[in-house]
Amino acid sequence: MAGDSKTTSDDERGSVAGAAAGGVEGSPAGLSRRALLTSLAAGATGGGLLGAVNRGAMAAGSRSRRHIRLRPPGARDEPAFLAACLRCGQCIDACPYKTLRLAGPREGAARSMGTPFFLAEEVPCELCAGYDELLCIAACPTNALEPVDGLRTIRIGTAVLLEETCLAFNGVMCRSCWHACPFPNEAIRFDARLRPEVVEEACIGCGLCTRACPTTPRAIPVRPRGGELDCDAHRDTDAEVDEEEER
Amino acid sequence: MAREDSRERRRRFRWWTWGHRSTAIGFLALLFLGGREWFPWFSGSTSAATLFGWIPVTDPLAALEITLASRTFDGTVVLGAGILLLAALLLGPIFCGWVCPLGLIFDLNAGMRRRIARIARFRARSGPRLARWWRMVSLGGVLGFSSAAALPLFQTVSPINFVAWLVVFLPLPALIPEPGIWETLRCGVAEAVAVGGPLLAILGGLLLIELAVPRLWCRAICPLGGLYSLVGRSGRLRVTCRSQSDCLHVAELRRGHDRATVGVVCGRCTAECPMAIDVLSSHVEHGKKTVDDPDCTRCGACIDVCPTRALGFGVFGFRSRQHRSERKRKDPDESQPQRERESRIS
Repeated sequence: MAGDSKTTSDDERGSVAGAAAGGVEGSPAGLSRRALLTSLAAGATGGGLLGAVNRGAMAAGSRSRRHIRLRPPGARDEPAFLAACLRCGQCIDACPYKTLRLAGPREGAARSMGTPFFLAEEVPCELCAGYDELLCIAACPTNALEPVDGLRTIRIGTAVLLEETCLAFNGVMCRSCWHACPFPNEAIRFDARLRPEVVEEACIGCGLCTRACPTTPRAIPVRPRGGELDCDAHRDTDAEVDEEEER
Repeated sequence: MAREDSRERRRRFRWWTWGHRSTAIGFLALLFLGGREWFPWFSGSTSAATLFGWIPVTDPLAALEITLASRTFDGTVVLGAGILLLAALLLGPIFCGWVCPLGLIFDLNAGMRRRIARIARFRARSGPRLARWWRMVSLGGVLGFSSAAALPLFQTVSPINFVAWLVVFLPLPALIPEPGIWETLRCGVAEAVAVGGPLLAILGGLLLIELAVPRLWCRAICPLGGLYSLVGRSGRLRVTCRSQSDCLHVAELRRGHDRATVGVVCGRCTAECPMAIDVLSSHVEHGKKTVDDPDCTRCGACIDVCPTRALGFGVFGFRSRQHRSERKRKDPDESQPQRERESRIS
């Protein structure tokens, strides 16, 4: 057929010689192979540049860290998670409390489109209470969500106590977060004046305290592991806290 | 005669077309059901899914991207991709023709266009033939990017995934019930627009492109289609020309008419092909038994429109492939009888 292809028009040559697939130099089959390899290199260069910029931004703690959301339990560190997540949504499907949602364009970062996340203010992670295992981890086909060695080793993030809005710090008797916490007296404990404090080493970041908090905005949001507080209101208060500390 | 032909054509039910449409609609329904909690037999979307709670199925391109991006080898993913790759190896890129939800949308759109064209009496042409290596460029680019940026690029921006996400996840996982049904509905719709609006806009943009160049996405951009066409190159299920003499065009040529003066007599198969494969001139007229173009998605559009039913589906054993490759190797000598046959025809 290759003999014919020289005499036929350009249009026909595509299908005829492509069928031969002999990889003759200059034939469309060879051309497509060359295109594949060239674009592999081009894509690798572009991707490498973008990846380097992204890693630099992450390290510098700039905007991209604010886009990190609360991930399901067992999630690997954000860059490794984004690399391994298939965006298939099986964890979202498996979640019995409908905690997990699919990140769409609204969530701001194109690279996390299709990945699972949750909002602690609305539906926190109930740690599959009433089930034998963490169902999202069991459903994940890749190692984006890795099996955890007991609930206490989960690190979704850390609860951050904002003292201006917290009722207990403002003279009101409130122990909502302590009651909601899966590890009371370990992750959240009280000082002598019955004010709560978060023990960072013990907090797993499930967000149950966030939902239970009666104030608006919540006085105890969760900071995602490797990220920053994602809600604007929280971020502002956080900045104010920092300023006050500096003073 | 010509008018009779057209009437006969219109009356004929497009079995294969509706066949592959219904399997794709079935897949969409399965995706939707998979998102419901009371349906445990399917879970997932287009990039990966689990059947009956234990059979993993993974999109081979997604599996490749994940493997390159995370630099780890995952048994479940490889197994799941292997199932689909084996199917493509045996049957060709049937995913594109029979399963792909985006392909379904394009196909329904093309059908609508054909119908409008018939009523408004303009010619709905299939698009220009585009070079095959375009898809290879995007496949290579996606794989290179995924590996270097440690991010499965196509899985985050794939319109195929968009369709699946819209179907599976838009009936939102956590609709907050507001006081009053109308308020709940209003919030639900607002939420749906906020979440799915941009995805819908991108899909709408692709449909607008369809007006100018039909199937531009499938033929020139889709890296998944590129991968399937690479793998399915030697697929055993093919459109076959059962008997060349049944073809109106070939019969006309055999009657002693010159192609230069007669032109293409029928050519419906070429005109209908969504992938713009020249079924008639490059395959049937050449005396090839099968349509061996790697772009062929086995959608059966050409079979449906062939007025004399000269085309059909056929399955070929691996022996016939050996014969073909032997013939290929001895090409310069073997092409002689081919040319003789052609000169006899014309």
